[in-house]
Amino acid sequence: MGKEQTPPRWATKLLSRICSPNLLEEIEGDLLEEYQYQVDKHGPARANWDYISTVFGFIRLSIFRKKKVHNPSSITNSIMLRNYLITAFRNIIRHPSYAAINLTGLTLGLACSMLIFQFVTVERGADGFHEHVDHTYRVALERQINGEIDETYSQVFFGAGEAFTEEIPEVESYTRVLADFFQEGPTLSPNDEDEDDGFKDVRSIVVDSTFLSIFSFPLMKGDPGTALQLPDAILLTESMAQKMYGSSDPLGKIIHYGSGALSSQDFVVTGILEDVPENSHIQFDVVIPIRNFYGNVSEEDLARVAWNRSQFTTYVTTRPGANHEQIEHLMNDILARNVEQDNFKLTTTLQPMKSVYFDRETDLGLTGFGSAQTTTRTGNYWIVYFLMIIGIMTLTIAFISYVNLSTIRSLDRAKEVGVRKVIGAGKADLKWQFFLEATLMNFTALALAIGLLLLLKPLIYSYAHLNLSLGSMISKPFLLLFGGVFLVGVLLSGSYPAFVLSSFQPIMAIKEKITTSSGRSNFRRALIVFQYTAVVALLVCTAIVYQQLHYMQNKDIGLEMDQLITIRSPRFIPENTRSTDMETALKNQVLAVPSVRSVTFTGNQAGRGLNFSLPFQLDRVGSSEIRVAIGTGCRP
Amino acid sequence: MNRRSFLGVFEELMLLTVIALGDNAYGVSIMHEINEQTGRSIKLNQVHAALHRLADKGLVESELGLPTAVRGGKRKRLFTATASGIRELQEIQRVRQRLWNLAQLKPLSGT
Repeated sequence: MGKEQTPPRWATKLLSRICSPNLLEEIEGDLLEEYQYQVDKHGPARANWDYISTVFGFIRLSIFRKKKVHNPSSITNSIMLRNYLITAFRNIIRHPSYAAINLTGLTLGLACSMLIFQFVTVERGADGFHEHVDHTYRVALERQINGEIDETYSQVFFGAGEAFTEEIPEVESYTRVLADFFQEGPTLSPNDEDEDDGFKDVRSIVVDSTFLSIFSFPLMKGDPGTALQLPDAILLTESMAQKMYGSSDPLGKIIHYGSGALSSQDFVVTGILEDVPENSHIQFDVVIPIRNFYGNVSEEDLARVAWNRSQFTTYVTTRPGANHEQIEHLMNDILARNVEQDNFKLTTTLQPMKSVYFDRETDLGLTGFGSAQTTTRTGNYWIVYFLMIIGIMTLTIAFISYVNLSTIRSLDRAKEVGVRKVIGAGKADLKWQFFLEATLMNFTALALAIGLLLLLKPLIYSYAHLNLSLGSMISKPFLLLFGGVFLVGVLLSGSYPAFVLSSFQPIMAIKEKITTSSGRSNFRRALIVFQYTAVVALLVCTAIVYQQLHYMQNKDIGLEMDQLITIRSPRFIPENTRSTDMETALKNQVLAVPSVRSVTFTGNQAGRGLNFSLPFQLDRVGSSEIRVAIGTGCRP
Repeated sequence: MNRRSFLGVFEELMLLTVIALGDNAYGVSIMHEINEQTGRSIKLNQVHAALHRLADKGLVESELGLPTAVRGGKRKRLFTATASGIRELQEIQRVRQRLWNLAQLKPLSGT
């Protein structure tokens, strides 16, 4: 000892940087003691080397950094926390307009983006409610001519599903889904009522009994094991049952089912299904077993048509982990064996269930035929994608405006910062304070936004033709997406003002020498430019879309639709009656209604294109009263 | 059984040294003792890291001692083994003993 040898100062400094403050003293002490020992024993060179290498050794020990020393004025201290909250509250009281602007901006931004994200997650989660969605596939048929894919169909042969399931071990089960549709959906009437009082154009699907096990359309009443076993069973959705039977129990009731592709007959209600979610690509009101579809047809006849009729949308489930290329290969073998392919080639592909909703390429077949209601539904992925960007942009604008408003007001807060610093607040404490304030503001806005949404929900949904359940707001994907964007936004928008405001020098602040320094205002300028660019872009887009919609809705198409009623003419004409006689009779009857000005017949509803050969024509033109067009779906 | 497997040989050595040094077990003294007894040359950072791990496992506890001049007026942190630390060592000792007894039933290879 004795000699005034000291370890290299930079190493000591480095140690104090990497080491947690509450461990620094003992480590420094140990190091110093060892240093002196080494100096005495081996001389300063060795001691220095030892000292430095040990200090570097500490760098790797990240545990020494993690444990932060307890700082009595930190955010965890309840007294300071209370003080911060009081200060934040006082600031709001003292500058109500500022707070109002800030809160309004954030609230609107949050409400807007919440609505958008809600829609986005519901759309993106389409068909995700099925339990087996990950190994359920729609079988699609690709027709190739000269080696090029000509068309992809979603509908395959009657016997395909059965053959695939029997011959390919990896395919576990299948169900066919066929919309019962001819001109329009069937008419359903409770048996004790007249068919005239029935419910017309019901969305009805014909399915295999495996339908309920492959898909997760839960039964509210009835036994899923047997509900589709009997050929004359019928399942109703909850709202369909509500419409037909009100509050009385529909189970076991008999329904007269008519006018579809099936012959008129009676069905027994064997189950009530929950309403089909909006984001399901299969949509229906009633379900009937496919056995009914082929009724009394013999097995031989069925086998004969198995590879003739291809109008059955077929879904298969595969064993988890099955090789799809191999399955497709085997399917094609089966197809080649059963279907004669001369100048074209048919191949099957497995379309993952989750991709089906956004699939707009595959031909869905004739489900429409001029009806407004169909049993399939597709979404547009681009709309979802763009909406997501717009949602994030809206939120970003809201956060940027918060940042700008808070930093612009920094002059007002400078004195407070100065006083706090003089009293002994560290930079970190001030950062915490302002960050806390931002968080407080954001969460208040969040609460307001949720309130606003709940309040305006019916209005928004009816205007935008949305039907999103509240449940989608607490779904996991929504919380992940919105929560993620929100938290990142809070973090960024809260920390920038915190850094700016906490950096004021106390003496400058008290002397009121603080000006908006140029370096920072450049950043703020950039923010403002971005904010306004985004806002203008959104406004322009909105204007364009609005004009386009306006144009589509108000373009003069040569028809006055406002005073026009279209009704469907009877499709069954008594024997020995000519259709023109029928038409004249009907027309005279309708004309007898006082407010009807004129009546005409047409092949299809106006605006739906021409059906057969009867154009749209008015007998007397130029009246302002109600005119009636009687459309015939099919003229005999 | 589980916890014992976490105690490495170095940590075991460290814990023994802490006990051996009695009420004078702190960073530098432990390092010197180990280096002297084993002929290794371990560094202070290793000692501190190991002590930290032992403290996390509840095998040692510590308190700040008095400042000394040679440490530039800095206090030292004095370590003592906890009851569970001592139990841990005894358990290791027992396991070793059993294994030695087993090993002696067979002739040792080599000379």
